[in-house]
Amino acid sequence: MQNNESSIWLFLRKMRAPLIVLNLAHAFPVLLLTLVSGITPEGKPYYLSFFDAMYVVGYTATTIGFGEIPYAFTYTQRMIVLFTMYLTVPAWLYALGSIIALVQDKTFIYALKMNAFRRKVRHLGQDFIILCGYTDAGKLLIDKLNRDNLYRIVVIDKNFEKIESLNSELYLPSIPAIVADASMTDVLISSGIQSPRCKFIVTLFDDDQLNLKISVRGRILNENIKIIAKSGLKQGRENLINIGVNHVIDAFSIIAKRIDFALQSPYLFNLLSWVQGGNLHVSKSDILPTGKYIVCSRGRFGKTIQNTLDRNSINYTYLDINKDTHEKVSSDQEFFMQADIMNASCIIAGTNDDAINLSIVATARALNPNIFAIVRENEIEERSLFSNLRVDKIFVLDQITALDGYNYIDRPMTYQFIDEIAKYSKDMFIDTLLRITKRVNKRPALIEMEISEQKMYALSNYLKETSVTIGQLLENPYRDGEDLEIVMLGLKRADGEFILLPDDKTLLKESDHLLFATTQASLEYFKTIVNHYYELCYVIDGVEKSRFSLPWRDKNN
Amino acid sequence: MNSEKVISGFFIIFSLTLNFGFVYGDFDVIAYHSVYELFAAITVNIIATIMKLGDKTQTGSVLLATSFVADLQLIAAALFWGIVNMTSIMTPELFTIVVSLAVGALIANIISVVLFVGETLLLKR
Repeated sequence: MQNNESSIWLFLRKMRAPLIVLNLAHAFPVLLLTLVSGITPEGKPYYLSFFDAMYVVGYTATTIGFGEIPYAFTYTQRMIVLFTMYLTVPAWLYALGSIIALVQDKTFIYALKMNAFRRKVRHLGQDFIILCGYTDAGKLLIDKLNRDNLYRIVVIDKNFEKIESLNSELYLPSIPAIVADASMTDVLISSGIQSPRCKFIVTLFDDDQLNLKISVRGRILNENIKIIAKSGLKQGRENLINIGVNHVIDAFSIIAKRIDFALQSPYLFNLLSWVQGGNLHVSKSDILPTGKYIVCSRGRFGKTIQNTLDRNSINYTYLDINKDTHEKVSSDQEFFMQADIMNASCIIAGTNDDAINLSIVATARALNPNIFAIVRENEIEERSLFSNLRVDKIFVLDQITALDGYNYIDRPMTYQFIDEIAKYSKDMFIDTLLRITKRVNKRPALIEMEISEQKMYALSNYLKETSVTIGQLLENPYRDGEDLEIVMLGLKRADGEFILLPDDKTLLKESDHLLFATTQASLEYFKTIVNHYYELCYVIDGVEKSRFSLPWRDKNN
Repeated sequence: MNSEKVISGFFIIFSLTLNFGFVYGDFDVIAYHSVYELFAAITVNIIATIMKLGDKTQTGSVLLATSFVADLQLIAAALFWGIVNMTSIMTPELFTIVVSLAVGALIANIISVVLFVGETLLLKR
């Protein structure tokens, strides 16, 4: 902030010299012209008034040159005008040139942009999130968050092209964005991190050190803000948690958890991947084989996968593949033959290079057509290539990162839901799955809502007087035999108590959080019911409440 | 000694003295008030205004504001004088308006000088 402001002050200071030159170069000739007498056509002497003199000097300085006004000049006057020309025209050009150069100055333009950005952030008028890094994951996250519109978004990225591409997306509601280094304190302050309306800061850079830097500054600048940071390293994760990051997005652990769940039960896996953005239909590819695995990976991703497989006592061969070994090995085929691919049932291609992953899957398929292929996809653009290979399972890092961030921001109850339900047995998973797919559909939306004045105006006021059960709202609300297509998955009381799959008789309380699966149409009905008082009364009592009560009748009651 | 202070101090005080010189004398006697002095006062006032640009201190902003006020009043006086001359004949009654506008500018200039001197006295260097 200091930097920007001082560049504006510097701009004004630099303007001093050209402005003073301009002023004097006009004032001096004007004065001379008024002092020297001219002659009218009748031969009488006259003096130019200040207005006339300024007029003449003005059009001379700007090289317009209307001529000798009001009468033809005498030679003395012409001498002064000649002097005026050589004085004012260069002065004018100099002043104009330096002012234009100053206006085009990069730091000055940046300062103006920063000011405009600050003003936009100040006038957001809604809770907002600061997103550092307009990466692929950031893009997906913005799409998701903007659809819910619970928070506005502010974006910081160092890359000019990225911010340009963000501006060309024409997001609605609009997203203030600035080209700046998000790890600088003054940039974070300009993005409104100290505003009470700023609820989250999300940093999604690939560089762990940068994420750490931003998180430290974020925590110092605002104690109450929730920080979400991406991390690819184990130590990075610990560091981030130590400095007070509320949620670490670790795509590798999420993938490991999914594979873990998939090995335990495809139904549990399906619930988890639905919560993280998939659909709710258990297909053949959700059932992982239990035979021998080949893991082609390296670094932390490989280690995480190895731990998961060990825990589930799966027999596997680990191939440490990086670019060098990949190029040195005479052929992939030999490499895989050594790993006994003919008897393997599943191959995990998990390197950080999509080209290598593709070649691994293609080679493995050629040798063993029935092998189950799991692929890590690093770049979203490669999607079509992977689906052409008919890979059984694709883990897209950016997508997983974005959805994890989204879940934490807009529906934090999903974490509790998964943790709670994972404690139960297989029957419970199947039961829950069927309950959702039967009542809603195979691609339900997952919504979290709070019973509050803002979100559920009528219901929150109604609950102050009487009690309402979930069933009263959802079952046959309009007395036409149709239930709302909503399944309650979780209910969280204000005191933190979590109820998994609350039944229809569960009483609702004020400031409960609800997590439910629904269709878009039913969601609209539900919102109408809980926000409109007369609608709500009809749904609960089954009779239209009279809108006008007469005062004497009230007295009798 | 700070040469910037010398220059800006010169112009700030010079604009006050010129302004006073123009205003001094009976309000309705045109002969007591020179048009050239008004012209000089405007020119110097504008330079003083420019010299105050880009000062980020609190007093700097107030100084700039007083300068703007003085500019406005003096230019209004000059415009009024010019328009009256072009359209009708200057009378003592009309001339009083010109001088009183310049007196307003004088007040602004006095405030400006007081602030300038006050700020300088507060400096410990």
